[in-house]
Amino acid sequence: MNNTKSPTAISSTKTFLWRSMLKIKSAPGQMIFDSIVAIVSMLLFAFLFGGAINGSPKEYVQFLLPGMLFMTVLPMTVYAGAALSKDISTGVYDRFRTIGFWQPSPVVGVLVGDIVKYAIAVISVTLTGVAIGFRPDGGIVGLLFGVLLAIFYAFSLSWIFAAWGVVAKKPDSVAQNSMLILYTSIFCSNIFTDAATMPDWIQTVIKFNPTTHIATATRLLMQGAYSSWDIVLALVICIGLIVVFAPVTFVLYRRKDR
Amino acid sequence: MMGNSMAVEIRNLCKSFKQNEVLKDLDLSVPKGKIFALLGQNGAGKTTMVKILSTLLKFDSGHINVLSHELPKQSDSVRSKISMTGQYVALDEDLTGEQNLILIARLSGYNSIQAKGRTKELLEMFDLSDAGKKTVKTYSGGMHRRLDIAAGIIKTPELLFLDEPTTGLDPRSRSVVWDFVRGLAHNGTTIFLTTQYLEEADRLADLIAVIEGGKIVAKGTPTELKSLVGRKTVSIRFKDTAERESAKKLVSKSFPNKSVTEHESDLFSIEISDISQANSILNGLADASIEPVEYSISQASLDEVFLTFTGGKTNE
Repeated sequence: MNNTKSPTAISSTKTFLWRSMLKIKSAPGQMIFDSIVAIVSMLLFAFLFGGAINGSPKEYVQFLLPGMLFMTVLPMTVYAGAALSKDISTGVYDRFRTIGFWQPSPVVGVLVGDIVKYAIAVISVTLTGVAIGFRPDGGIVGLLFGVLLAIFYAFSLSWIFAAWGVVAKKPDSVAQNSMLILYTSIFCSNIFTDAATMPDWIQTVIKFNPTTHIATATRLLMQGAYSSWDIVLALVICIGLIVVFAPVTFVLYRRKDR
Repeated sequence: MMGNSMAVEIRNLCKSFKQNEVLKDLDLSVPKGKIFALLGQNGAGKTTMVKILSTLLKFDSGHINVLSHELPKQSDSVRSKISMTGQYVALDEDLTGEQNLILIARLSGYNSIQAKGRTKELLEMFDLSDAGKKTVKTYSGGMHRRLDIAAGIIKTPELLFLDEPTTGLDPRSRSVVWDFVRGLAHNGTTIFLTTQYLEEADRLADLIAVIEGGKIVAKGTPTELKSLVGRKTVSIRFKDTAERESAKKLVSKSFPNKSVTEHESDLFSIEISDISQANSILNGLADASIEPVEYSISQASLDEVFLTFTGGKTNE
């Protein structure tokens, strides 16, 4: 009856990105709150523990900042899963499914849209760190690479929660149940201190925690040490997460049968 | 028969959720261009059926053709021709009404100018022009539902599914929805709606099917359904009880097989099979010089039809 054609995959995905941006604009509260928490945690950690761990806050911040990026951004990776779960638990998802466009585009739109949130939080932390004396050897370029890797890791990790969000019964359960995993992943790592002083068993856990390797790679990037296998490993982890969890999410999303 | 004049054809449809059999060997055909109402109580299987037909839910066994495309094989072809508005509002609460419509329009293949034009048109049609710039979160129930239906017809579908479109609506919103359904049907769209309101089915639908316990227990036009149950009734009122008693005696004599029911002190009613019987009753009374104060002939209501076919259970 109408002479319109189904949109291309790129065009429908762009439409969903537009939706994500509108949502950020219409309710910026969460994002502002996240950034404030990030800045306050940065200051607290640096000034409370800095003296004890590294002699002074300024010394400690050289080690802390790359790690602090993950403390900030990892809890945000559940938002995408919660958003997908919300679409499914309301009828929005059913409506999308009866329209003939490239079906993964709502998922891609939500996850890619969240990159903006990660970027704003990560940049807030970085600027705070620089303000209190963070001066990496890699200069601005190294800093930029480090920040990009942190954002890329958050994006990769968000695919796990996306898959989870698609099968979850309630949006809230994704956010609540994921916290244990996320905080274990944050604290059982080398984000805050060097793992060398810790007991052996915990060092084993830390070695298998992907966050450890990404944080190491981020530090190397910020120091300007670009030619390291640790950086390759970090990229492999990120890409691996996407390669595994993106198709899983798409399949689960498509097969969703309520 | 798999003719082209049918919008929906269902044979031997079965669907269970775990142990719970929701649709049991169900058959149904809906012709094109009509307003069809699936009438049933809560839990009768209405929503399950609409979800299956709109490709949202898989079924266990049976044959389904929607607009001459077979399900589930040709789901994509079906999707491009239908639209579905579910029972739960399918809108993004964080966006404005206008943004919601533009979103769906863009996803349906409109370019950005067309999408804006269509959105404006629909907001006007559904009496939402003023609310268009407000976040959907702030909408009332009736506004939600109207916007939801508007989103469902951005691209005029060949077949529109409406799952309980007016449940919980205020009278004004309900009449906006009804007018719109009639208008759309007038322009050739087939409407498949579910309802638990008899009045809605009666006033809106060309064809009704009553669903109960996962099966279609009755179908036909509203008039056909009413004539299936009970015949017409004539009620006659007299000036006092004494006159009614003598009239009743007279009528019982001339129609010994029919039961006469007394109401109040001065009224009785009797079931008739056609209008001419009403005439002969009245003529008989006139011959005996009994003058009724008033009389009326009424048809069985759809309520009676519904209660008869659904075993007299009421909605919980």
